[in-house]
Amino acid sequence: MGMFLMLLGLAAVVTALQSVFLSYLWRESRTPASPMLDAADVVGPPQFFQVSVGRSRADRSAGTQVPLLLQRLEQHIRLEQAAAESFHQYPTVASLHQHTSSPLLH
Amino acid sequence: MTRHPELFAGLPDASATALEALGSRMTLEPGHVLFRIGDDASHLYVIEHGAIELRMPMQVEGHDEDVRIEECLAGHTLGWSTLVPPHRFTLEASARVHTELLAFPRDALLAYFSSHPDVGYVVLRNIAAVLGQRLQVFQAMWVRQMQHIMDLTNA
Repeated sequence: MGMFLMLLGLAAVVTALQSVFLSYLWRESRTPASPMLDAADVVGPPQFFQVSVGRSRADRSAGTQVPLLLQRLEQHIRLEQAAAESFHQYPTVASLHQHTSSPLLH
Repeated sequence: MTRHPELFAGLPDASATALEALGSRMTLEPGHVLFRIGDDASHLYVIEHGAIELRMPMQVEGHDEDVRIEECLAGHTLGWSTLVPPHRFTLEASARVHTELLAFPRDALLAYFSSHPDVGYVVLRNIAAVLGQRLQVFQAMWVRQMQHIMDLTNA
């Protein structure tokens, strides 16, 4: 009788462990393999010092790039106009789409 | 008259001199604006000396910038909007260096052309030639930019 009770208790413990293990596996199977990141989670709310400064570091660096971009833009316009004038003198399909060394295209 | 070949080509010297008398001389220092976008276009200009930059507004990195699209040098004519309705300038013109121009009032020009149709025919033919050349060049530029967009889209 004692042996029977011991086996019964052991079976109950094994069954409990199996149920815990199976429930763990079931939860894992419902969890996505790679969780999706929401942009709001990455960016987060604006920081206090950013508001007080006014412009972020990214904005300031963009501001300093404007003269360089303007220079490239005007160089692009000059090259494209020269290519278009060349097409006007000798209009062919090849001359219309002749590539230039424009910094905006390379 | 060889000083203003773009506008006066093909005219007898006497007619060119008479036309030139309709204009008034003006001087611009570097950076001075001749006209802005939307201004009433009442004068046609011929550059005698110097250089005029033509600019149009663009958004660059979120900033409003006037981008130089063309430079006109001595002998060039500018201010075509004076002769084309609705007579509003469509870009900004300013002097890059010390510049001297002849400014022709539209009313005086048209009145002279009415009384001297042979002169008006030659001058308007010259203007049509320049405008046609510029239209074809800018058509080609437009097609090239569209091609660039297509290439970038498919890249």
